[in-house]
Amino acid sequence: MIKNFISEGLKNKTFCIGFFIFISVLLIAVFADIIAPYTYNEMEITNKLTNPNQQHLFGTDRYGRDLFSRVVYGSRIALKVGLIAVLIESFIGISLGLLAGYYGGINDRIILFITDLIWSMPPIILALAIITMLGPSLNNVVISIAVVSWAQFTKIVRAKTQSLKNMPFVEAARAFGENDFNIIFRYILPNVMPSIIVITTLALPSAILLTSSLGFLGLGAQPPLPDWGVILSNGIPFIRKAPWITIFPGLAIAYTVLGFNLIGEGLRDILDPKLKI
Amino acid sequence: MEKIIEIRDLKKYFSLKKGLFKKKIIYIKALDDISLDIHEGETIGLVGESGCGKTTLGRSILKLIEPTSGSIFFNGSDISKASGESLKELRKKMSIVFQDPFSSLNPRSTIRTALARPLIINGVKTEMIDSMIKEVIRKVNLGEELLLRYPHQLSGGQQQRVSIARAIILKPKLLILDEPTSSLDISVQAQILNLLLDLQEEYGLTYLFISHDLNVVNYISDRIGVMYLGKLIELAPVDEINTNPRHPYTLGLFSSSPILSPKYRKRKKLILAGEPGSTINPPTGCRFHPRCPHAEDICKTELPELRKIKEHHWVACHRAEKINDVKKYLPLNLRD
Amino acid sequence: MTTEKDLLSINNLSVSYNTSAGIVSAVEGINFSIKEKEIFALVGESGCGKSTTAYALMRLISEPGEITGGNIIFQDQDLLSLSHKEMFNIRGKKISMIFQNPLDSLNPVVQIGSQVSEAIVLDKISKKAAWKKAVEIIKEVKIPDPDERANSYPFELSGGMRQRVMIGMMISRKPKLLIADEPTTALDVTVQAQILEIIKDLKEEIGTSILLITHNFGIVAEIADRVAVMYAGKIVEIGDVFQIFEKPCHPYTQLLMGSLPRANKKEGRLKTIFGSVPNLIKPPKGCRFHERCPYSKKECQEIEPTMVEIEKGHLCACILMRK
Repeated sequence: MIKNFISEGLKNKTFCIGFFIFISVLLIAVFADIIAPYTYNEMEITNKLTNPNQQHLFGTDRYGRDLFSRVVYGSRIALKVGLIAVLIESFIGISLGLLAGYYGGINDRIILFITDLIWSMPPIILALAIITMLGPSLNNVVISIAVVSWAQFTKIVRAKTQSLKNMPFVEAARAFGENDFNIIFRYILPNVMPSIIVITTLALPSAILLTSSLGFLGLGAQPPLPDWGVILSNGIPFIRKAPWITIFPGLAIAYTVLGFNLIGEGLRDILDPKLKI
Repeated sequence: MEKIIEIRDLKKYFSLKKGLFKKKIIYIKALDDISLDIHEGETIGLVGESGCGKTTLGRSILKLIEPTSGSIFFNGSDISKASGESLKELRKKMSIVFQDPFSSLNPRSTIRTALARPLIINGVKTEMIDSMIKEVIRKVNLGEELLLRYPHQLSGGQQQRVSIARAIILKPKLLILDEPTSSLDISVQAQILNLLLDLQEEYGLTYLFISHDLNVVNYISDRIGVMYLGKLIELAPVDEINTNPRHPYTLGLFSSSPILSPKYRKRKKLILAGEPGSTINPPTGCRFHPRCPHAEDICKTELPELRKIKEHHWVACHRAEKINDVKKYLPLNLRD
Repeated sequence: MTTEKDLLSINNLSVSYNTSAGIVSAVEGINFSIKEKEIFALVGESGCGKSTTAYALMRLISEPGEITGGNIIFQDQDLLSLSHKEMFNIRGKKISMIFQNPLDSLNPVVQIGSQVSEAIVLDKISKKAAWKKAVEIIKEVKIPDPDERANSYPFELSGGMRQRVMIGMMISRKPKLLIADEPTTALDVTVQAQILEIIKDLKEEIGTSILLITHNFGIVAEIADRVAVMYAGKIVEIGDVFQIFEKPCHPYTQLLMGSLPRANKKEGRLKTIFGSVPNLIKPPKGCRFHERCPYSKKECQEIEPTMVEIEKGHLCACILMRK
C-alpha cells in the first residue's frame, strides 16, 4: 500500500510541488539557527529601516532587527502553532464525528447541533472573541484556532462513519463478535483516514493564516516573538519607506499556505477510489 | 433430523418518523409473524422479490437486526433474547456470507487479518491461529500467498472465497448465504456453488440460501421457502414445489422465471400483473390478493395462515386446494 | 456468412483502450450480422467485450477507447464512415439503446410525459400533440393510468415502470434496431418477465430487431433467436439458440453451458473452468482460450482460430472443432 502511494505521489505534479514547498519550510524551521545570521531579537538601533543589502538580506525593521532572521525564525512559530492546533482540533473533531456517526440517536443530534453552530460562525470573529476572553498569547492562539476549526473534521468523519457502519464488512465483524470499540478503531477509522488526511492538509494552512491574522491584530504572539503576522503588522506604518517589512513575511505566509494547499489537492487526486486506498 | 433453528412468530417492524415535527410514525413491516424450522444438515432456499423480507430474515437470525418480537431458537437457546457473552457464544455457531464480495472485506486489512480476527475475538490460542488460517484458506482452494494481500488485489471470486473462509473458520453449524453468487460471473458462480457443496459435506453444515435466482436455488436447495411482502407463503421440498406449487404467487414466480433451456420458451407463462407492493401499508387480508387471479372476498379480509397441505408442504392461501392451474403453466419434466 | 436480408453486419471490428498500463485489446476482429425481425443475443462474462461492441455500434466509444478497425454496415451504409451529424440522425431514430439502470437514463427533475415527448418532438410536431402521443406510448407499454403517470417524476415510478418508459421512449420512433444492454438485471423476476414480453412484442408488432447484451443465460434461452458467445474480446461461437444450448461446439461454450445450474445438486456438480480471464493488454498468442481449455494442443498456442461453419447457421472458432 505504501509503495503504491509513493509511486502515485511522485507522478502527481501538484503533490510534488506542494511537498517540496513543505519540506523547504520545514528545513528552514529546523535549521533556523544555522540559516539565520542573527537572532530574531538583536537590535541595532543605528541600523534601523535599512534597505535589503548584503548584511541584511531582507533589510531591517524599526528596531534594527534583521528581517531575514525574523522571518526565518517565524517559520518555527507558524509550523508549531499550525501543527499543534491541528492536532488538537483533529482529535476533538474526529472523536465527536465517530461518536455521532456510529451511535446516532440523541448523541448524534446534540453533537450535530453544536457542530453546526460552530461551523456557521465566521472563524476569525469567533477566534477574536475567544482570544479576547482568554487574553493574547501564543498558547491561547492555539486554543482558539482549535475551537474554531474542529467542526470540519466532525462533519466529514460523521458522514463517512454513517455510511461505513452499514457496510457488509462491518456487519460481518459484528457477526463474529467484534465489540463497538474494535469496530470503530479497526474497521471504521482506518477507512475514514484518507478523508482525514486530506482535511488535515487543508486545515494546516487555515491554522497558519488564522495565527497570522490574530498576530496581525496584536492578539497572538507577543513581542518580541517573530510571528509573521506580527512582523507584517509592525511594517504597516512604514509601508512607504520600508515596504519590505510587510512584503517578506507576507510572501512567507503565502508560500507556506500554498505548499499545504497543493499537498491537499494532490492527495485528494491520489487517494481517489481508483487507487482503493 | 435435528432441528437446529426454530423461528416462532418473528416480527420486524422498522419505524420511520415522518411529518414536519417527526411526530407521525409509519411502520415498514419487513417481517410479519414468520415461523420456520431449519433442520441440521439441510439447505433451505429462500426466494422472493424486493421487499419480501428474505434479507431481513437472514440478518435477524444472527441478531444483526433486532427483532421487534418473536423468538429464534438455536438448539434450544433463544438468540433473540441473548446478549453479551451468551450472544457471542451463539454467534460462534452461525455465520453469514454477503452478496458483494468486495464490500464484505475490510479494505484496510490484509486477508490474513480478516481471517485472524474471528479467532482472536473468540479466544482461540495464539499458537493455533496460524494453522487454522492456513487450513481454511486451503479448504476454499486459495493459495497461501493471498494471505498477505489486500482485498482490492483479489478477483471477485477470490474475495467471495475469503468471505466463505472467514465464515467457516470457527466451525459453525449454520451458514446464512445472502445472494452469495449474484454478483459473480456464471463460471465463478459454478465454482462457488461446488465449493459450498463440498464444504457442506465435509463439515456437516446447514445452509440458509437466500437468492432471487430460482435456477440457483433449485440447484442447491433441499427445501424452498417463498416469501412475499414479509410473509412466508409456501414451504416445500424442492421437487414438490417445482411440480406442485399451491400458492398462486409461487406458481407465477416459478412460471415466469427464466428456464435455462430454450426448449420451454413457448410454454404458457403465468405473468403476474403489477409489481410487488410496499411493506408500509400492505394490503389487508392476504397480501397477494391485489395481484391474484383467484382472489375472492375472504382473501381481501382474512390473512391466511401457513398451514400443512401435505406431508412437508406448507401453504398460506385460502384457496390452495381449489386452484388447478399448475399443469397449464408448468411443463412436465421441468428441470431436466 | 449468409446475407439474406441482413439488417446489420459487423465486419472485422476492433476496439482498443489506451490505458496507462498499456493498450487493452478489448474487441479484436469480430464478425456477426443481425437479420431483420430477430432477437440477437451477444453473451459472455464480464470483460469479454460485449458492452464495448454495443457502444462501438452506436459510435459512443470515447477516450481512451477507440475503434481501430473494421466496418459496421447498416442499411447499406458503413456507420463508421458517417459524419457526426449523419450518425446523430441514426441514433435514437433508426438505432436506439436501453441500459441496465433506467434511473440513470432518465432526468430526475423532469416529468415522464415531457421526457417521452422530447423524444418525439424531434419529429417536428407541436408540443401538445407530442404530449398526447407520449401518453399513448406510456399506455402502449402497459403502464396503468397513463394520463396521470405522464405527470409523474421518475422517482415516483418503480424500476419496472421506469424500464418500460425507457423502452417506450426508445421505440416511439420505430427504430429498426434496438440495443438492450442488460435491460433486466436490476429488476425483480416477475417484472423481468413482463419486460421480456414487451421486448418480444416489439419484434412481432413493430418489426424491430433487438441486439440483447447480457450475461444472463436464462433470458437468452427465453427470447433470443440467435446467439454469439464472446470471450476475451473475440467471438468464439455463433448459432441459433438451440444450437448453442444443446449442441455447443466451442469448448468455452460447452463449459459455460455445463456450469449453468439446470437441475438439482443430486444430478451432480457443476462444470467449472480452470484459471481466469487473460490479460487483454498481452492477450495469449493463438487462441485466447487455450490456457484454460481442457482440450488445448500445441497448435492452439500458435494458430489463431477462424470462424468455420460446422452446420447451417452454426459457426465455431476452434481448430479442434469439438462437437
